[in-house]
Amino acid sequence: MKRILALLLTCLMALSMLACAQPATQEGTDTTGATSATQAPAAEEPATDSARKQITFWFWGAATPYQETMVNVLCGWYNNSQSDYELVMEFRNTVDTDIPVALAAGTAPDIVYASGPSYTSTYAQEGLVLDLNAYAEQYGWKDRVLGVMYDACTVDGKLYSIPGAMVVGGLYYNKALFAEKGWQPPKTWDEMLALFDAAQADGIYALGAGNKGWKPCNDHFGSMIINHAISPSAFYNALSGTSSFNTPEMVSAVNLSAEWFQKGYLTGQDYVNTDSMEVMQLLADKRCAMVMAPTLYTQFVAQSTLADTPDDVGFVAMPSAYTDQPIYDVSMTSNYAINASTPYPDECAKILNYMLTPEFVVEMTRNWPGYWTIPIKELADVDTSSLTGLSLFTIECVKEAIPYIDAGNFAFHPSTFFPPATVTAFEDIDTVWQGVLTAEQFCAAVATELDAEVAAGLVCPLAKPAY
Amino acid sequence: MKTRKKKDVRESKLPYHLLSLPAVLLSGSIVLIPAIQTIFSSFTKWNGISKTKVWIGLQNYKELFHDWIFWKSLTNNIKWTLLFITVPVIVAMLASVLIAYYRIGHKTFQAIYLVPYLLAPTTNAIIWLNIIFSPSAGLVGFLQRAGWISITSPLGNMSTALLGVAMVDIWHYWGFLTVIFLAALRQTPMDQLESAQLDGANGWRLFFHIYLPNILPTVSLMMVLIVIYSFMTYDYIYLLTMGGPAHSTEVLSTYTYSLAFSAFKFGKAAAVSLSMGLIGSVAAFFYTWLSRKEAVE
Repeated sequence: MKRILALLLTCLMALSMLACAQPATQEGTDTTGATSATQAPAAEEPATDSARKQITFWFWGAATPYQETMVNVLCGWYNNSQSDYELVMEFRNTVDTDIPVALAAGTAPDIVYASGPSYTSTYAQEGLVLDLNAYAEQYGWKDRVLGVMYDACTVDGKLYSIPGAMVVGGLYYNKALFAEKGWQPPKTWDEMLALFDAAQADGIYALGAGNKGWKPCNDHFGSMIINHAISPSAFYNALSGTSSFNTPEMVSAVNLSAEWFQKGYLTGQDYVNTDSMEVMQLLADKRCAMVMAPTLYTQFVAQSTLADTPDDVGFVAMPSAYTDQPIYDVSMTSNYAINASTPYPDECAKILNYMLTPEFVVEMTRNWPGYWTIPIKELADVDTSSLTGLSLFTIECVKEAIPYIDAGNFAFHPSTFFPPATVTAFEDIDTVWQGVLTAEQFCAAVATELDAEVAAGLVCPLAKPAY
Repeated sequence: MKTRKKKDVRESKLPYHLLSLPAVLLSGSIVLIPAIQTIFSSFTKWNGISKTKVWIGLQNYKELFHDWIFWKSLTNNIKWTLLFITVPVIVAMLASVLIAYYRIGHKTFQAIYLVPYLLAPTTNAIIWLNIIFSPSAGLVGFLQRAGWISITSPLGNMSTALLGVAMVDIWHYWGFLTVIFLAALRQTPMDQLESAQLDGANGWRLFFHIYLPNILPTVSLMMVLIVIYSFMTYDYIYLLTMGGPAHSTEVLSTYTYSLAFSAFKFGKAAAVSLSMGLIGSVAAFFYTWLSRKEAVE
């Protein structure tokens, strides 16, 4: 009897294991916490013919309204434009780690998301993403995309991804607070430092900044201080291999960033306890004078109480110590490649091409301000008459920067232009701020990683900055 | 005759072998094979997605020997272990003895103590980050603005960040330990307790001479498990500080993750995880030895 019972139990266990091995459903939430969707609730019902071939696209786990916007705009457009294919979006909080693992395992989505060209250059070198040169020619991408962003997506002269939004670094400020205090947005380095001290004397933070929940934010603040204290050529020379990252000039700039931190300019002692959304809430609450950040932070303004009074939000270029000209820190929020093993490369290219249109920029920015300023040349003339509030503000900020960027007044943001191990080393700039390492030790560590990655050909082609 | 006997023995054990087969298959496929791959990868230079791994011998281990973040992480793991084998164990022991001794509302207390343990680490981390530690919306921010006391979040300070994270994890864990200890305390023979009480033993004597000897095997096993968990700890540190500020809360698991998925240095990450696994194995070996010893006794 016992033997029969044991055999029965064994069979039951085997059956339950087989049941567990069944594939997850295609919609809803899977075990990784990812959500997938082909259409937003409000979207027009597309032809959901089961015979439609699925094109998959993983994206990071943005806030739910933003996810709905993306599904409405991108899936809505594509799935209604034809009846043979269906674009399926999946939002994953761990997309940055899921993509390389899935690529290595051969289970990656058709459209490959990356948090910057440093990721795609690694994928390209392993032959995991497609050379897009033929599509670039077919759709005229080279003529339509801003050169500095297009070049960043190439490896050995071949295009492997298209850029997501180009965001520019600068200073956000609350116009109501400035009016109350009688302050003017700073135009020079000295004016900016004087404003920081005035803010601290008034008992508020000089700058809102924080890395809670996303430690890599260190590179936003660290690189902006360096790029405006010394010329952007310092990064350019190091990245192009013409000089080391570890120069006396770089060491002094890193030391300056530590000085700012120790003076409490970066949210005092609360840098580690403040996330990007809270930073913008500090600005809304008039508890910090300015926020030094890329324009993608507008999406966090939209989540703060400042969203109720969008006319109070101001944005200016961060002054530099070496010129009175505006210099904009340029970065890419994300970029998109095509999986080398997709059976539908032409359809994926069609989707990427739509993402490079003014229509897509406007429709996405309407409900997701700050994240979708795709670097197309038409952006300078895009019709913004249908946009209001923060959506209009987003486009206007980038529009204002484009002529300066075209003239070479730009600086490189590490997360976009540094290769992976170098950017990881750079994110450790807080070790200098906290007094764990000296600036010399930090620069030497970054230089070691950068030299190895330059030698391995992992740095993307770079446009030369004017300064 | 002998062959027949052997066959009988084999047949009688067959269902047990079959029953253990799923576990063996699972362990083989999701533990053993990746473990072998990890050991091999630790001797290679590999970016995690390439089909080729370049054999570099002991280079990754040599680099780790000179890597201050690795040593910082290892030290933090040791500090974490020391904190966890003392603070929650003492608190849980005290709470369980009090509940066992007084027997008033013990079911309610057990349920309350278990709540943080039942909540997902993400939920607990969000509660502490946003409702307690946040300078904007949290208790710390409220007290700062009210000016009653000068207080800052422990996570923002290099010297208190690890304690701050450990405090949250201990808050989540001690209730579970309390319930385990309480279950063990309930196994204390009543005759021993009654005779000790008749002999006039006070609370301390009851604890040290009756309760503690009876629950000692459970306490020892829990301590070994705590050591194993402490060297694998990841969730609360990643959720609360991501190893920051300036690596002050970095532990081996978070460093492994960062090397693998930020710097694409899977070979070096494998070397770190292997060293973590070796320490865990020593504790696991000790755990097995204790379990067997207990079974024999």
